[in-house]
Amino acid sequence: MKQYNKNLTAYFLVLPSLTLFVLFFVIPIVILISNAFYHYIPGVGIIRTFTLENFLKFVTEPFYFLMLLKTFAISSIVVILSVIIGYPMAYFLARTKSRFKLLLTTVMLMPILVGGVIRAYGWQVILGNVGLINVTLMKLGLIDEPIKMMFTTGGVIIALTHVIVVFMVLPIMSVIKKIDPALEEAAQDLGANRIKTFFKVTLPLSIPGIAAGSSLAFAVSVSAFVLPELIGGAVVGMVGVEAAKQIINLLNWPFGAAISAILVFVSLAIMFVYERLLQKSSIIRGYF
Amino acid sequence: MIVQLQGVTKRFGTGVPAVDNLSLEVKKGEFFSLLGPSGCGKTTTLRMVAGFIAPTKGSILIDGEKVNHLPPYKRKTSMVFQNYALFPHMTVFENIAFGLKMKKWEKNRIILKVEEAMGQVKLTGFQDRYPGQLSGGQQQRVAIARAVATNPSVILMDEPLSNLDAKLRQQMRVELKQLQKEIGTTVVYVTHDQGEALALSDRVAILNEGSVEQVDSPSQIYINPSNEFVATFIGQLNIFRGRIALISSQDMEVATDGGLKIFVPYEENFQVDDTVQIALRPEGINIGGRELALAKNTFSVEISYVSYLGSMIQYLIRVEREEIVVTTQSRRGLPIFKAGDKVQINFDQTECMVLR
Repeated sequence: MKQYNKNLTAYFLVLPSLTLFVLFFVIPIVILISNAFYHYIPGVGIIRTFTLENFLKFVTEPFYFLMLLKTFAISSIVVILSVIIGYPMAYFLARTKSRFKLLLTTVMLMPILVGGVIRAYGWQVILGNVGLINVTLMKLGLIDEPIKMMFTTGGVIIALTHVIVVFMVLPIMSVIKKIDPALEEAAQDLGANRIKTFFKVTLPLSIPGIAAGSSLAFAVSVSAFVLPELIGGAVVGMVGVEAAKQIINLLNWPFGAAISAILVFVSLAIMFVYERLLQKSSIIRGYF
Repeated sequence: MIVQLQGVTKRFGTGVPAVDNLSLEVKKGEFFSLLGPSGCGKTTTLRMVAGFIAPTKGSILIDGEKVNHLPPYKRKTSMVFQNYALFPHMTVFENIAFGLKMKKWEKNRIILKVEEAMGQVKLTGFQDRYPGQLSGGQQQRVAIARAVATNPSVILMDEPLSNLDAKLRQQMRVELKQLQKEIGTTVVYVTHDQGEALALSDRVAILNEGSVEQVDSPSQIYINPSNEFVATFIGQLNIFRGRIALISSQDMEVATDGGLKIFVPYEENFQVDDTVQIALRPEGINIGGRELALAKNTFSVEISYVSYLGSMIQYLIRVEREEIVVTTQSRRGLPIFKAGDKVQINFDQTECMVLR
């Protein structure tokens, strides 16, 4: 009886968020995806009869398939850069005893506290042909003409990494906080220098954090829309931008929906395989 | 000498030093304990020997070599941590082999050594388990095996038994001592548990506020504490404050503030009217009926409280304005007194420690 009451309480506690989730996430997604199975005739509109032509179009036209590949490639690079940049940051923030810890953590969170559009324009100011970097380098006489960074894949990767690194730092930080510093001391005591200590003890024990961070970062990057649009423009096509363009500009809901559905399912599949591989390689049993 | 500390001081920030001008020597093959209340600097001292903390002043020598500036991984020390610090992602075998791999031993030699170490701590057959699958006592054994396997000059132990339950602690105490004798390693052992220190050690250093109060064998520390701190820290103690009333050639008569006259053995450098403290162990006092009225220090008293502790009985006694604790062994055939009983207590003059 008591157990039953406890369960009931638990259901009541999740009821508000569950309602929100179903009303504003599940239902719209179902509606959106159901659109993917309708016809669209330019100039006429949506014809509500079942078809797979939207999916076929995506798979058979190399333009879209290459765009998907490029999106995943960009996202993978962003994830790797985020791990490389984010891990040391996470380690420092998890272990520092500085009285500025809270301040530093807030500074680290800044990129996601600033709106996406503002951030994108900020990057335009820095990366543009008459932007901060190019003007500085030209004044210094290091280059004669501006390096093209706006509307390049590189520019998009830089701008995406800047915000996505935050999603990497947070989970890694919380995992490192749980690693007993005595473990690192024990490794050193047993003759491992700092580098060996890191690769034999600290890094293997941080893998759950890296896994969680990578999944999060990958998901955010794959579905990115504002930054690729404003920094990459039409040159750097990413799937998120294309889906938005189909729906907002061309009013081709069925095809936009199909693109979205494909994006979501392929990224889920990639993340699933990735987590499985990490779990297998990390041999952490009986601990987490 | 395996470990030498020469005038070692450690100051964290600007406050009182955690360790203050400390000098110690640990001999080869010795079981040496650092004992003291929390905050006395014993763990800081141990961590300086291990190399996790650098001393502010002074020298640390291991095997006669100054190691102040050597990182932990270049020192011939092995530490057993309070919470064991076993690597959770490695099996028992990998944990014990870790130090040997770092020393670049070849594989077959590592396997033999790990098996030997596991045998020494009675863990044979557990090599494929992960620490998370072991009990606290078993984890403790892995930690000890891991420290022993690398053949260190000295094994450092930081309250290694404090996370075990009372019974297991007793058992591990015995095994630890046996193992240390068997392999003959030097051990520096940090504890706040006096029973543990007395039972295990060849010598004990009593630390207080970052300084050494006394270094001696357990029995000497118990019988001949060098000052009041050591006397009260180790074991239970009755302390009488008073002044010397009379000095004769054999003994001195002390009038205590509580109104007793206690005779203590004559010692040089004391004069009439000096304030002194007399320290007396509860087990050094006899309690009984009329038959006791022989020694000079005999008092007729009334028992005010009795605690029956199983193997011992503890009596709280009020006489004049003093309170005295007396413990006796409980034996069949010996009477157990009740509160309110009128009895005699006495003690030999030699049971009294006179402290200034």
